Amino acid sequence: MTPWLRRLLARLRRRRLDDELAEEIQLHLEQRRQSLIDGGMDPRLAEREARRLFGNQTVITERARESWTIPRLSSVAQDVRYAIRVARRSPGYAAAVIVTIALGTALNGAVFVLVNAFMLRPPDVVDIERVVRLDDGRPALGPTYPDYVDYRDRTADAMDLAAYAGIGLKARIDTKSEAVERVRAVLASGNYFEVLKVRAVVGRTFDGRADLPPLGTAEAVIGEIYWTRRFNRDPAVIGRSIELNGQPFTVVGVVPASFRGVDIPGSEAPTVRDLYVPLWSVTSLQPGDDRLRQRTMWWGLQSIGRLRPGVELSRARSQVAAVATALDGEYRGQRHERTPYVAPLGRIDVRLFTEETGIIAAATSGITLLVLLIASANVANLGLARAVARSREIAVRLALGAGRGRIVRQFLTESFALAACGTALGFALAILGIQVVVREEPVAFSLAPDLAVFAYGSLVALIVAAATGILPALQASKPGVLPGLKDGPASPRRNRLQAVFVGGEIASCVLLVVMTAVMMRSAQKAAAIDPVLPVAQLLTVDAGEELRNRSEGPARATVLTEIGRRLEVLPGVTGVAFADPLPFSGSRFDTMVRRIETPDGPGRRVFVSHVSASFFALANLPIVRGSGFVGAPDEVVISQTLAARLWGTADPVGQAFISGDFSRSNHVVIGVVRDAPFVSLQQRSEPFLFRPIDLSSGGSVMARTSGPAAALLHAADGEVRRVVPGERLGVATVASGLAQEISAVQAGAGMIGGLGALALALALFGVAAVTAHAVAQRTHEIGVRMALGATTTDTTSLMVRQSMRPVIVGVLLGVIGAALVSRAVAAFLYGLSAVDPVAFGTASAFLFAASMVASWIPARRAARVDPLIALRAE
Amino acid sequence: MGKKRTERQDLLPGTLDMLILKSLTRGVMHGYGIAEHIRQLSDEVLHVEEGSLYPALQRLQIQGWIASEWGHSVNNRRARYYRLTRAGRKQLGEAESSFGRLIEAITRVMKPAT
Repeated sequence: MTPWLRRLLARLRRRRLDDELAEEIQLHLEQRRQSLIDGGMDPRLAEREARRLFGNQTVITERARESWTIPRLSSVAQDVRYAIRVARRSPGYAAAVIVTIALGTALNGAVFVLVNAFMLRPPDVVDIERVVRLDDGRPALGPTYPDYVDYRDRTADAMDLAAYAGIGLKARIDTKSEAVERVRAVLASGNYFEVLKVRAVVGRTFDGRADLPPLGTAEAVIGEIYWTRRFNRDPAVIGRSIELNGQPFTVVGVVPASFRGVDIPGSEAPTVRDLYVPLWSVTSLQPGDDRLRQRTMWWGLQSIGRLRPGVELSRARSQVAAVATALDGEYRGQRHERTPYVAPLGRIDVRLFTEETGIIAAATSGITLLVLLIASANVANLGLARAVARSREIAVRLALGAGRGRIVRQFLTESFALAACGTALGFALAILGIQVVVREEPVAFSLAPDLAVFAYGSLVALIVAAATGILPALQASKPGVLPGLKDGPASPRRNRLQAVFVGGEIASCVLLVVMTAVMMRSAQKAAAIDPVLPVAQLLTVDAGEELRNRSEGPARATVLTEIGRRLEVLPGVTGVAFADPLPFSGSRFDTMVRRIETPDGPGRRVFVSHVSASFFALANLPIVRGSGFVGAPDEVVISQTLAARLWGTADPVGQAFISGDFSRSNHVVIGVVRDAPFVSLQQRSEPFLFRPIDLSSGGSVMARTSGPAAALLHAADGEVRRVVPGERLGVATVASGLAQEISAVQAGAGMIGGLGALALALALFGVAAVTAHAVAQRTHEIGVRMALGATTTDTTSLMVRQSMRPVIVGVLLGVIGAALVSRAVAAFLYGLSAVDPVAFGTASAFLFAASMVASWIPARRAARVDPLIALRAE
Repeated sequence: MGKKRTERQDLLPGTLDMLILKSLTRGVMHGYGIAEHIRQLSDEVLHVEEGSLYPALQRLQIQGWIASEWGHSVNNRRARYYRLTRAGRKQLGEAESSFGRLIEAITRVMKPAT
């Protein structure tokens, strides 16, 4: 126990200690008196002598008490009490400060709560400090399955390695019904639950046997949330048979909802998993799939392990490194040479934070910081104004002998009390807001505020308190008792400080508003980009994933051809083509290409699409050189951009090149097609490679209509259902896929717009408050001017001119800042130059005008005051 | 806050704590006993304002150098008994040695070796 802690304890038991001390002193006095009497003294004299020898009882008691008190605590408590009294006396001020701080910190809190939940908080796993993640040398990339098996078997004495991957499945819970629903599942190795130390709520989890295909049906473990939703928590679910992607599975157990799985932080929003199936079952869930045998196929498999008792991380690392070297030798040319990495799961792995997460984090924290800055500047301004209003009170306290430090402390205590209230309110709003947003969908992470959130909130409150409190406190406690007592004129420096705050606020605000304008213009431009493809007249049947998962090769080709044949004869359809992936569908394939002369040189990344010969005409893509597919061996059509990148201005037709890393293919260019956006509107001139489609490996159907494609959606859906009654293949228009992209951009602009509006409101409030305050201080002067014949307009314009000076400086600084930021985010903008004159011009002009109005209102009001009343204001 | 200490200067500053700790090396004592012990051993030369013993006892407790508990005195009254803790014993050792050095130094100044 430290002395400090003992003091605290003593403080809590103060009354008892007081009593005990009194009792002790009483005893002492009596014993002294007794001994004096024993020595022959008169009892009455002895009583007095004992007291004399003891000394001043009150002082001694007080000194004894002092030794228990925590230094300053009493006076801190006094400050807090005083702060509460002050706040109660002017509830309007307190409320304005608290609400401003709450608005400023809510965003900050929301961002931190999410970042904390997504990235910082370790997964909820028993003994997490013994759990590690094995990646394949690239962050967030697990090993391939055959590599995983080798690592698992050869490092078995150091750790127990499990593997898992997410997969979307179609489940038929009731085998008597046709109803099929999509579920989110995890493919898990047999030791997955053992490694994570997860026990079943009902039944059991997988055991080691789950790694091998059993003789009977496969096992499945379901999550508690899914168990509750679909089975109403019926324990009889154990042993029940369900169908996943048409394959029978037997439910063997339920794992608790508290187990949220292990998502790689920062990769994508973690989701609640509905059920778990053995890893091997991927081969029957997706027929023809041989990913478990591919040493060069990364398909999202992740590997985690638990160190065996007594094994150090360093030993696991060196073993893994040794295995990797051995594998490089054993499978030369069949696998990439890699340097696997073993990372403790419980610690934040900075390698997982990609450049993209970095940019997003910087952007969001930058924006929230700006808003917080504006809010703080406002509060500081209010504080300065209030310090003036309280100058008489402060002067009295100084005159009565309070030290300057004491006054500063008093002010800081007040700021901190308000900042703490505001931040608490802001964070509460943030957490509530997030919870409302995620209510629709259970998320796989806990949003409950933890110690980190609390600590961060306290830090924010402290910073806000310091940022908003120190200057007003120093200003208010400036020595100079007499002018304060006389309620004389405020020092001009105070106004200069306020001007600095206003300038800063306006600069931050211009930055945000300009960025909002840029985003909105970008969204506008995105909507106006010529998609080249006749998107409104293209109807698609998205069969890629569905057919790949369900049918064998020949069956797929038959189904696709049949759908194509039926759509072609539908009235209003002018042509049909096949493509994989579909344009603007959100999925994309890419590969590396190299010129045939430099097969080992650095490759170029290109997008790939497999299309039928009719595709180019259907998609309005003119062949600018050569021809479309003619059935020649290895024929490909490439985009103008790819042609230019590989061969410059030389004629690409007839040139050969290679694609792929391991399974290489040769290609001969047969034609060059016009550049067009295909994956996203942003990518108008991406290098593209079109290969002839092989329908037996799946694909999607695209139909060109003479009228709007949306009108034929229903008819097309009917035709598709006639071909594949059980399946639900998505019939859609390309335009709707594009609309989604544009609406995402617009949503982004809207969100920043909301922030911009908030910042604007805060900043204008600040300008108005400062002008009002400046005007109020000069009421007397206004009265003199009016009495001397100045008109209302003269006075108003004078006041406005003076308030606008910091605004102008702020706008200029803000525009410079916005130009810098905008340059950094130019890559995300659609068809805009980094410094878009329209966005910059309108935003700064708007802000300028709005500030003018904000300062004009209080100035006008002051200028209208009767000169007589104004003169008497002293 | 800021009350000036009112110990009489009869005692070298800081020595009261040391004397209390030293007294307690003899065993468990109550406040009056400690005062008596100091008075008698010093042949009544050291004049301690008896009351100032109590704040000192509180201070030493907060430091963790002594501990106390309530017991019964000889005439069967409730009394608080103090005892030295391990940390207190260590502190006493340090105080004694530094005090020894101080006395030695003072002695050397007062009576320069001739």
